[in-house]
Amino acid sequence: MSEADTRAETDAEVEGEPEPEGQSFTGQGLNRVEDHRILTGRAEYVHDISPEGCLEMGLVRTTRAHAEIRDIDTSAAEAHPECALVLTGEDIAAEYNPMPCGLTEMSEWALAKEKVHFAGEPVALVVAEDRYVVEDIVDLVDVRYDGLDPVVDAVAAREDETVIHEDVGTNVPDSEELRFGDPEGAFAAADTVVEGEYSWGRISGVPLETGGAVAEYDPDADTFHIDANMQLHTLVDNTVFETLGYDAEDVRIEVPPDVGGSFGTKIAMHRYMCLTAMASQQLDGTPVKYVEDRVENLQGGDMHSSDREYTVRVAVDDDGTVRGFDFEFLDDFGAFPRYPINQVLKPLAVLTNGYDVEHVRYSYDLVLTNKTSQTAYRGFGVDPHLYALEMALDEAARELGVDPYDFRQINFIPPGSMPYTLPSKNIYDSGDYPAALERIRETVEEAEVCEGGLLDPDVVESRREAGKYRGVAYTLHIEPGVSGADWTNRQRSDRDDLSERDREDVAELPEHLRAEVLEDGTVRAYLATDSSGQGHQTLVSQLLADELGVLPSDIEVDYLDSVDAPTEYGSAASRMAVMLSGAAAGLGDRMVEQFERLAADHWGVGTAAVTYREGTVTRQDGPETLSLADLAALDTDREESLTRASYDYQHPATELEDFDEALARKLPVYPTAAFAANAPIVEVDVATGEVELLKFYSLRDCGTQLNPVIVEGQSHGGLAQGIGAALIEEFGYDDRGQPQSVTLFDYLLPSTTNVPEMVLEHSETPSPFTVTGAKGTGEGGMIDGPAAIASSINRALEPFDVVVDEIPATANRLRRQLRDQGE
Amino acid sequence: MKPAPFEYHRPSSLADALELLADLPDAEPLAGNQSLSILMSNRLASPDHLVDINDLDELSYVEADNGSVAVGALVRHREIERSGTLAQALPVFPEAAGKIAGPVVRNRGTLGGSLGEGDPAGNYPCVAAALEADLELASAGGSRTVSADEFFIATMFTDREEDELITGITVPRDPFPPARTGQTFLAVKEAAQTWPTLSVAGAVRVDDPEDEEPVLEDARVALANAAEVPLRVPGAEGEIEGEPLSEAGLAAAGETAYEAVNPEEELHADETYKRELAREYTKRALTTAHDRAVA
Amino acid sequence: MSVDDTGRSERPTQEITVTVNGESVTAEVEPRLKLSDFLRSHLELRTVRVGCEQGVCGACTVEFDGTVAKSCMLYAVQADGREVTTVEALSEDGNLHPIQEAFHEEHALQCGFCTSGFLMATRDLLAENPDPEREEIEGALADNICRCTGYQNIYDAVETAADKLEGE
Ligand SMILES: Cc1cc2nc3c(=O)[nH]c(=O)nc-3n(C[C@H](O)[C@H](O)[C@H](O)COP(=O)(O)OP(=O)(O)OC[C@H]3O[C@@H](n4cnc5c(N)ncnc54)[C@H](O)[C@@H]3O)c2cc1C
Ligand code: FES
Ligand code: FES
Repeated sequence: MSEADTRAETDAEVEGEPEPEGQSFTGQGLNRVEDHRILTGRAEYVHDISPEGCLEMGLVRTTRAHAEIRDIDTSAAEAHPECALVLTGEDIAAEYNPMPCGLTEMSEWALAKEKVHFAGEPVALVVAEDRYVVEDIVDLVDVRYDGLDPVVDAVAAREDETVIHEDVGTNVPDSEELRFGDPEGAFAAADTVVEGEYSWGRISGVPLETGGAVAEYDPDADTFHIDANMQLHTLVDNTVFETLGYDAEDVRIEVPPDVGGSFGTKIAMHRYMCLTAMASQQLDGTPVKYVEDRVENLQGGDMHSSDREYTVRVAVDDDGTVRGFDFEFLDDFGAFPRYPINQVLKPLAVLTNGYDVEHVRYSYDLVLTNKTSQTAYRGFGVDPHLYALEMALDEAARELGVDPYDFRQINFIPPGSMPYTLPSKNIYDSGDYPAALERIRETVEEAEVCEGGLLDPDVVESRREAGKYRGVAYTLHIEPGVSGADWTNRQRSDRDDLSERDREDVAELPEHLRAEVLEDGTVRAYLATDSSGQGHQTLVSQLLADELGVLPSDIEVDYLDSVDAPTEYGSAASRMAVMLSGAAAGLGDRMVEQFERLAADHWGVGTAAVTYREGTVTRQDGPETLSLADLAALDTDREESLTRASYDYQHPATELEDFDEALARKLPVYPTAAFAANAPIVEVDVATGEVELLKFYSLRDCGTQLNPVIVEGQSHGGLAQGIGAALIEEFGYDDRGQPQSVTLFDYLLPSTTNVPEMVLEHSETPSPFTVTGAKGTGEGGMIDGPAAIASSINRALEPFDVVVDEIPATANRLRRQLRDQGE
Repeated sequence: MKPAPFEYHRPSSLADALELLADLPDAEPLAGNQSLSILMSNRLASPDHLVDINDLDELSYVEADNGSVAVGALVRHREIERSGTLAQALPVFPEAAGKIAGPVVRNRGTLGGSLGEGDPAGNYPCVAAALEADLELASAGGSRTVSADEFFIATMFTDREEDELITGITVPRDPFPPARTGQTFLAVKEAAQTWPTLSVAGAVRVDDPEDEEPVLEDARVALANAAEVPLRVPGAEGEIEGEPLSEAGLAAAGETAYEAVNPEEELHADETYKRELAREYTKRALTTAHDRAVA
Repeated sequence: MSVDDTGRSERPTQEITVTVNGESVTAEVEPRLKLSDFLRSHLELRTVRVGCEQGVCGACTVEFDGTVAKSCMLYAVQADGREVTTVEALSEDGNLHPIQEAFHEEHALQCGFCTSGFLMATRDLLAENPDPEREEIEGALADNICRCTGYQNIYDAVETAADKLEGE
C-alpha cells in the first residue's frame, strides 16, 4: 500500500478533519510562487504598464492650504507645442460628478473647483508625450488665489471660527458618544480616577511604490479600462464609476498581480484613476498614464492616516482592579472625510484590549482641517487607541504604586472566560493572555536579565551612570481580524434606529473564489481581490492543493477585475487568511463533487460508484480512471461546465448567533482576536532624548498558521512599521498649513539602522470560529509596536516620572518631557 | 520630479571645464549629483548648462606631506572614508565621510560638491571649519585660496563665483600631530538616510599624552545644522584650552555652545532642543577627542 | 541595438552609446533624461524601479562604472561610453543567481518593489566582503529602504547568499 493510499483511508475515516501532519501543504512554510517573476524582472507593476501610444498626465497642485481660486490661466500651457490636453476643475464639473466621500452629504471634486482645501490639492491636469514635457507644461499653468485663513489646529477647528466647507457648516461633520455598561457609576464608585492626554501624530503607510493609473476609454463601446495599483478594487470601485457617471460594468478596473505595497493607503487611488479616465475620454480614447512622484505622494497623495488627540480616564480601585475606561478623542481627518472613515470606530472591536472591564464610555469627533485627507493604514485606528489605553494604564500603575506587569495581570480577561464578549459586543475567540504575558517575561528574563544580557543589572546600572536608561515593559495587545462589512457604514446610517434594527437587515459580504481546470489538467483559481505583497497566490495554491489533493505547483492563481468579480470586501482588515481558507474549503468540496458527477456521467454510473482522489477520478467497479486533463477534455462540449466552479464563503460571524447583537447594531465585528505579547528593550539617552531599540522580543499568536514563513514576514514588517511610527515617522504641518514632510528625508521610513534584531516566538491558539483555526493577522506589529515601545520607554524613564504623551516619541519630545521634569 | 531642459558638457581637463564655466551663461558644475539632482528634479535649480566634472582625474587626489594635507574636490565620500592617509593624518575626515548616508550615495558624492553646496548641515563644511581648512578655487582667470571661515556665507550661499570651481582643500597639519591629537565627528540622526539634526566636529591637541593630566593646547569645535553656516565655536574652545580637561571646563564649553548657536526649527527639533544638543554634543565631542589624544 | 526617441522633435537630444548588461546600446536622448528613466522606458529594463527620485529609497540602484549608484541621480548622458549593469544581467537563461535564490529561500521580499536595489547592493557588498558580519550588512544596505520586510529576512538572505557564493 502506498503512502498516498494510507492517507486516503485516514481521510475516509475522519471525514472533514484536516489532513494529518506532514501531509498537507497548508501550514507549511512554502516559499512563495510570486518571487521568481519579481526577482527576474518579469513582474509588471502598474508603473511598467505603457500601452501603445500612451500619453502621460501631470497635475498642477496648489501650494496654498486654504484659498479661493480667482482665476486659472491655461493659455500658455495650451500654447505649448506638445500639449495634448489641459483640464481644470470647472472643465470636469461640466461633464462628471464629484468623488463620493465617507459621509453621504459630502463629496470632493477630483480637481479643486472654486477653492482649494489643502496644500498639494490638484487644480488642473495636463497631458503630453512624457513626464518631462508634462512638467514643463504644468509650470505654465497660472493659478491666482484669494487667500483664506488656514484651519490647522484640530482642537481649535472645532470652534468653527473658519469653516472649511460652508455648505456643511461645521468642521466636525461626524461624532458619536457610545456608553457601554454604566461608566458614570463605575467612575463614581472607583477609589481613584487617573486621567492622561495623549497625542498620535499623522503616520501612514508610505509604500515604496507610489500611486499609478493607466486609463483607456473605448469610444465605440463607451467603456473604460483602468489599470491601477488600487487596493479593494472590487469593493470601492464605486468611487471611480460613480465619479465618471457610468455603471459599474462600464468601468473595468484591473489591478496588476504585483503591487509595490499598500498597507491600506491605496484604497484612496480613485482621484488618479478618475482623472486619467476623464483625460482619455477627452482625448477620444488615447491611453493616459499617471505615476505619482514621491513629493506628490507625501504632500497630497491622499494617503495620510490617523491624527488624534486623546483624553483617557481610568477608574481604578486601590487593589488594582480597573472598573471603567473613558476614551475621548478627536481625529484630524484633513480636508475631506474621504472613504474610509470608520477607523474612528474600529477600536470598539478591541475596546478594552485584553482587559476584563465592563463599563466604558467612548466618544469621538471627526474634525476637518486644511490638510491632506486620511485614508486607511495598517491598524486602521486601533494603534492609537491601544497606545492611549496602555499609557493611561502605565500612569495609573504609577499612581497606585503597582508594578505595571502585575497591574496588567490583575485585569486580564481570564482564559476561562473565552470566548469573551466585550462591552462593545465584539467577541474575542480564544487566548490565554496571562500565560502569554508570563511567557514573554520569562523569555526575556532568562535571556537578558543575566550576565552578558542587555538587562544585566550591573550593565543597567553602569549605563545609567552614563545617562543611558534601559527599560523593558511587558504588554499584550489584541489584533482584531476578519472585519465584517455591514458595520462599516455606521456613520452613513441613522444611528438612533440601530438599537431597534433587525438581524435580518444585516448585509455581509462573502469572499468569492472561483477556479477552472485547464486543458493540461492544471487548476487556475481566480481571486476576487487584489494583493500587494502578502503572498495570496502562494496561500491559495497551498489551500486548494490540499482541497484537491494535488501539488501547489498544479494550481495557478490569477485575479479578477472589478467587472468580472462580484462586489467583494477583499484584502483589508486582516481578512484574507480566514476568508480565503473558508472559500478554498467550500470551493474544493464543490469541485470534487462536480468532478465525480462528470466522471459518473461519462461512465454512465451513479456518483456513488466513483471517487475523486488526488487529481484522479476512479471507477470503483473497474480499472478506468480520469485525470484532471481528461475531465477538462470531457467538459468542453457540455452545456453545464463541471470543471469550473465558484464559491462564496459567508463571513464567519454571520454563522454565530453570539454576534447577532453586534451585527444588528452595526458595531464593529471582528470575529478573530490574534494577540501579541511584546517586550522591546530600549535605551534612552536622557541628555538628548534619543531612543535606541536594542532588541524586540515578541510572542505572537494568530491561531493556526497557514504559512509560517508568510506569518513571520508579516510580523517583521508590521513591527518595523510600528517602530517607525513609535519613534520617527510623521507628517508635520506648520501653523500656516504647509506640509513639512514632503521628501523621504523628512518622512522617515525606518532604515536598516532603525530596526533592531527581532526575537519572535509563535504560539498557536486556534480560533473556534474559523474553518482552519486561523486568525487574521495582516496588521499586527503596526497595531502593537508603538504602544509596546512607548511602555518600555515609560519603564526606562520611570525615575523621571515620564509617560510618553506623544507618538512618535521623537528625541525632542522626550527631551521636552524630561526638561519639564527638571532633567 | 523631472528637471527642466539643459545642455550637457563633459570636459576632460580642468582647463576645459573652467573655459566652459567662463563662456556659458548660467552653467552649473555637476559632480556626484547627490544633491544637485534633487534640487533640479524639484526645479528649485534649472541651470541652462551642466558642466560634468567627473572626468577631471586631476581633482582626485589625497596627498599628505609634513606641512599639510590636500584633498581634491572630486574625491568621493567612499574614498575619503577608506583613505589610509586621511585616517592617519586627519581621522575626522574619514569619520565624517562614513556618516553620510549609505555606501551607494558615498560612491558618488564628492568633497567638492558637499562644500560647493554650502549646506550648513553638511558634514565636510563643519570639519573644514573646525580644522581651519583652506579651499582652493580656480577659474579661467586664475586661482585663489579662501579660508573655510570666509567661504561659507549663509545657507546655500558661498563665496564661490559662478565661473569658479573648487579644486580641493588644504588643511595645515601643524596643529594636529597625530601622536598628541584626538579628533572626532559625531552626528545625531533619526535615520540613516536623512541629514543630521545636528553634528559636531571636534579636535584636541594635548601637550603630553603620557602625562597624568595633560594640558589642552588646542581645541576645536564646529557644529553643523546649528546656524546659517557651519559654526565654529571659539568661545567653547577657549573654555578648555590651556588647562587639563575638567568637568567644569566641559560644562562651560557646553554652555557657550548652547548660547552660540542660532538654529532653525525643524519638524522634530525645536530651537531649545537643538541648543541642548549643541551643549551636549560639544561636551561629548571634546571628551572623545581628548580621550583619543591621550590614548 | 538602437533606440529612437520619437515625437519629441523640438527637444534637443544627444547621442549616447552605453554598454548595458554587456550589450552596446546607442540612443538619442534628451540630456535631462535620468538614467533610471532611460533604463526603464527606453530599454524596458524593469528591474530598475523608481521609488523616490530623491536618492533615499535605493530601488533604482544599478552598477555604474564599476560601483553601485542610484540611477535616479544620474543622467543618461553621463553613461555615454560607460558600463551599466542591472538585475537583468544576474539571472542567465531564467536561472536564479545565488543571491536571487537566497532572497527567495529566506522570504526576503514581499511586495518586491525594493528587491532589485537590495540585490544590487548585496552583490556589491559580497564582491568586496564575501563573509560580512551582521553589522556590516546593515551598513552596506543603509541606502536601501524596504517598507515590507523589516529587514530581518534580508539579512538572512545576504548571509545565505554569501554561503552559496563561497560554495561555488
Ligand atoms: C540619502 C542622502 C543622504 C545624505 N546625507 C548627508 C549627510 O548626512 N551629510 C552630508 O554632509 N551630506 C549628505 N548628503 C549629501 C551628499 O553628501 C552629497 O554628496 C553632497 O552634499 C553633494 O556632493 P555631490 O558631489 O553629490 O555634488 P553635486 O550634487 O553634484 O553638487 C552640489 C552642488 O555643488 C556644486 N559643485 C559640485 N562640485 C563642485 C566643485 N568642484 N566646485 C564648485 N561647485 C561644485 C554643484 O554645482 C551643486 O551646486 C546626503 C545625500 C543623500 C542622497
Ligand atoms: S528612486 Fe532612486 S533612490 Fe529612490
Ligand atoms: S518588499 Fe516591499 S518594499 Fe521591500
